[in-house]
Amino acid sequence: MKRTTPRIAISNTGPLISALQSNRMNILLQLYDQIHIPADEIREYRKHGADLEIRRLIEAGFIVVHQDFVPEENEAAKAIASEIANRPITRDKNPEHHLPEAFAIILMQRGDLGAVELLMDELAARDVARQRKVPFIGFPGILIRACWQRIIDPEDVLAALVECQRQGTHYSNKLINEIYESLKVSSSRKRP
Amino acid sequence: MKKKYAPHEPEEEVLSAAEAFNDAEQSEARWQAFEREERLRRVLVELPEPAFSKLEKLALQRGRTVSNLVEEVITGLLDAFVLPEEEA
Repeated sequence: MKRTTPRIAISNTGPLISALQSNRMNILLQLYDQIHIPADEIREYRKHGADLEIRRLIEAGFIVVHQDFVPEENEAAKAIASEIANRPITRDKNPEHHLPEAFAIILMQRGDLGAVELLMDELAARDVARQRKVPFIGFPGILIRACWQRIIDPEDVLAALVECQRQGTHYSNKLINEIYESLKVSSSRKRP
Repeated sequence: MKKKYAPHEPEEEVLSAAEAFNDAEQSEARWQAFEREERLRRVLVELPEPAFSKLEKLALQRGRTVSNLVEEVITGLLDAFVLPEEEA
């Protein structure tokens, strides 16, 4: 009677950093069984001061790191990174800086991994993923889903986004307030 | 003191609230399709603290998630009690 297919997602750096900033990694642990990341992201987590936490999650088997890219995938990742860098919406025009998200998109395109979605916040990379029909969700969307599933309430969503913002993540007041107000209205409608 | 993490690409634009809700709706639809395919049913389990935190710590130590542990316990109970009865 055991379930055999784990709930797998691929993640770019941003959503995992947001989960750590807001101390809400528990939500990802409830929504997913495994999160796969490309090895290129490890350097970024180190830069963010999150390497210890990420290492623990790797040791626990929750985060799975990939460096098994074949030459064709490396080439495809370079092309995707250039595409992201060329998007007018991105301010970082250096393709090398977009390689981690490019490799994350490549992982999503591997049919054998069985990944259902890509966790990604940056607009330029999301645009490139959308063009390739890669399904994605950002960290605010994950919080909304967690609220719908009653893992957290609207106040927790507000607190998480405010904490990310306080630590420098680019979530605007407008984004935070609109999400909170909308969740508050819908949750008060559902309650008797 | 709470640990602080440097923001990721703070100069880059991130999504709007409408996009966040759209993300959540589409993701929910994907996971519902996954559950239909795997013949899964969702169960909401509300655990009081500190039970949840302890379970979460235990799960992490074992390389599992809270959902995994709850699922394993329920499956084990079914295998131990319900199925032998049905077979009898």
